[in-house]
Amino acid sequence: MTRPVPVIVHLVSGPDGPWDPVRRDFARTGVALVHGSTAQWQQQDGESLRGLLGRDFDRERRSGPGGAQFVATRLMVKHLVARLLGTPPGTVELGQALTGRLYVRGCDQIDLSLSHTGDVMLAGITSLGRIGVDVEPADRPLSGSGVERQMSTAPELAEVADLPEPARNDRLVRRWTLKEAYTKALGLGLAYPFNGFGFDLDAEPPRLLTAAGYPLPGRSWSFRTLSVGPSHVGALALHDRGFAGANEVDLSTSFDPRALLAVRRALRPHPA
Amino acid sequence: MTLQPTWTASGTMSGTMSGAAPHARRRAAQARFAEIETAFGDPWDAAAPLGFRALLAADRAGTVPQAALSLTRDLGLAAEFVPTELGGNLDGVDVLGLLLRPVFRRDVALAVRSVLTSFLAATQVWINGDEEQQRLTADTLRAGGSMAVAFQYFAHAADFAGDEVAVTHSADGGLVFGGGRQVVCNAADADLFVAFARADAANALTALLVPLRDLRAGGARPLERVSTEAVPGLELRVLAFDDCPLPATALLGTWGRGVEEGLRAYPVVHAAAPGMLIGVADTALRTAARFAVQVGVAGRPLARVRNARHALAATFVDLLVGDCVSLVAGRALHLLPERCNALAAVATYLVPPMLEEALRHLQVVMGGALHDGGDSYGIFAKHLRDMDAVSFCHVSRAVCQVAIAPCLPGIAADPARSGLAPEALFHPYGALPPLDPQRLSAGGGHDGLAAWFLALPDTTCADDPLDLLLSSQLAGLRSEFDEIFAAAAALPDADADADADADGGPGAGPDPHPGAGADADADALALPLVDRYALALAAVCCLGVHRQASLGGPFEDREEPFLADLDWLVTALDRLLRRAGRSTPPVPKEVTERLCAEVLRRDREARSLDLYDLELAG
Repeated sequence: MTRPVPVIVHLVSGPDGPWDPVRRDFARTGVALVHGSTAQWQQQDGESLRGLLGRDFDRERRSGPGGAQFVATRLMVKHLVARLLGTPPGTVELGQALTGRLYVRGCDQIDLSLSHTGDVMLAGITSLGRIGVDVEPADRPLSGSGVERQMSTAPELAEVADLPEPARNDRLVRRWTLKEAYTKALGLGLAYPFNGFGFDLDAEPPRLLTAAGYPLPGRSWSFRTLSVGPSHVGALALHDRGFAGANEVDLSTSFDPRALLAVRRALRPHPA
Repeated sequence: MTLQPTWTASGTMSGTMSGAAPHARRRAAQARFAEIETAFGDPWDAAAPLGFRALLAADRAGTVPQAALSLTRDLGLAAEFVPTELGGNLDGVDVLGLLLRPVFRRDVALAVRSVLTSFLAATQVWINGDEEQQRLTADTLRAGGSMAVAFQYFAHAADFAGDEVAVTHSADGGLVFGGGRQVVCNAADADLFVAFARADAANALTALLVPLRDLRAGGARPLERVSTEAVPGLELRVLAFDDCPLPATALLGTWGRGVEEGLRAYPVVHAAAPGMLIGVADTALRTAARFAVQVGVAGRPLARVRNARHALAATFVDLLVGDCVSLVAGRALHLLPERCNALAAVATYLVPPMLEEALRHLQVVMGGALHDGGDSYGIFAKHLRDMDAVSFCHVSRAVCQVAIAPCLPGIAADPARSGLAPEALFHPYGALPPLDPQRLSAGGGHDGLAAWFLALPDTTCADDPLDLLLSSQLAGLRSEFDEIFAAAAALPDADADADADADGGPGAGPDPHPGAGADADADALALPLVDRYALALAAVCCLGVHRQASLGGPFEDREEPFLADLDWLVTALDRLLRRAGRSTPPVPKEVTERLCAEVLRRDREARSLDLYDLELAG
């Protein structure tokens, strides 16, 4: 049983979406991918923001210059979660694990990941297991930089050494986004050494390799390169635990009805 | 009402305790732990038949070594969860997780097959079974038999549940069970099977104790094995039931009340299971520590990689937090049976995912060896994979949320309604009264832990920086409780449906959709609160354990200078508060260094990475 993995990143320009294609992807595959512009998502007035952001609101005020971008990312993610879970955005509380992973507090049925660079935000959400996404400008200069050496295993360095530009840089950007998406799905982000694993970019879809260049067994991981708007490259890393359904994440039925009723009845004061 | 905690627990303890004295309990538990460890042998010995190398090879083959399964039988491990009154060794759920850790630290599939599945099934019998069913279950387990269980299907419970099998009354006064398939662990060799079957009414379930061994010749057919990449060594099979006649005595508990009575058993499962998983986390942390010392981190010695030392220290503290919650929840089953339900659910809601997150953090240490650990370090990736699977699926957090959320408004209204939590809750190996199933109920969660904390005097010693840090953390924790209680009090009233339904009379049946409508918002709003309440309660458990360790007690000589130290406590509170989204002053670097040194010491000396610091076989 192999589920389809979506590669379309839907543009959502604000709270009004459009969300239908996003919902359809999520219902069909258990995964949804959206991108948006921070400038567009910042068009919110202060009062409604306070209600919507809740505990994140004060943090935003403290966070200074990056604050506006912070608000935009949180808004987009909250609306995404709310639309897919059938709950008002104000009830969605985002938490941040100590390793940096973003999550929906109290709702471990889904995992989400967020990346932004400049004005572009990319978010992924899944009910299958773990997800990581990353977005970079397609022309981010990596060739010949110190980063190239840090991010590459020995076979990967050799592989790009003789490539002409811009093919070499394109390949490095693709590889970087995949590596970042994978470590984010692991729950670690940049704390994990990028030269500790590799990617076979000639395989379709890309394959995870050991540092020595051998493919890793198992089918629970999927990787995709994504096209995000006209000038950005993204990546998706998805871990499917293999037993979660793609349906049943509607928060309005989050509590099992029978069990909830039994608990509530038990809590009612006993007749004297 | 006085809000002063009682610093000696003698009032709670005197006159009500049966069972062994604390000294004897400690000695008995430590001796049994050592016996099990010794029998399994040094897991790092590459030539050992039950070492990690052999377990990894078996895992690759999708199984567990037969010799390991035999050993669990020879050791009579099932007796650890058979109550002493029924001839077993279980005199307190607080040490059950500890005693089964030697199995869990070696292999999750082995543990699930040999002990966990039978424990889950047997608990239903201890709580809801009659005397004869309890005797049959105890005798079966003590003779080396095993059990299987298929839980009721819960919404969002991401387990391997198949469809629900039905049970009906037969004309001759017996029962007919069948007409369905379920995916069951131990289906091919279990002697007894606890099933939750659909009863007559659409939404009612009935629990049954099915003599599976007898039925396998007839109506119960174990079919194909269900393989899973999540934990390949598990023996999951489809079990198909044709209509199987069962005697009326197979009824476990009350007809049609499987949901309610199943919930009554959940506190025991929820309090006990997380303590077992600490064994899995112990091995992962130990492997990462060994790797860091023996190989280095990304080509550099551990001494030069601060974030790796931090990861080791932080993971260790998360294990201690998990162990504190397990200890307190396990003891609460005995000491506060009517009031332990929310706390027990907190243990299972919080601890397994926290351990899994902690293990993920260790990937920073492992680096590329995560994918390519070989026989020496490959056990790390396997345990991480297994922890991910069990923390997500087995101990469904949705069930715990259901148990906790409805309690929050009541706790918020009066945290001290049933008094303060007794200090005896925090006492490792302390004597306990026997578990009284009749007193376990889906109560209001009034364990008094929050009230105990809120009544603590502020005893800051101004010249010690760690004391100052602790004082600031405690202020943060007080604010956190205040905010949680304020938000819980403001939740929309969710009782309307239960009232309306109950008024409909006993024949009305439960409303299949109580989550719909205005209630839905209350449920969605309660979810983040459940999360924050769980974190806050875990902080109180840590405080209690630390307090016991530093005060000493009337029960035994204190031998835990490490637990009496502030290093682990301030790190634990720091991590719990930051998980709750609160900012808190940083923990000094030297604290982290000392904790990392403790991890390395315990690995060198083969001592357990938990509250107990016990000697291991390797």
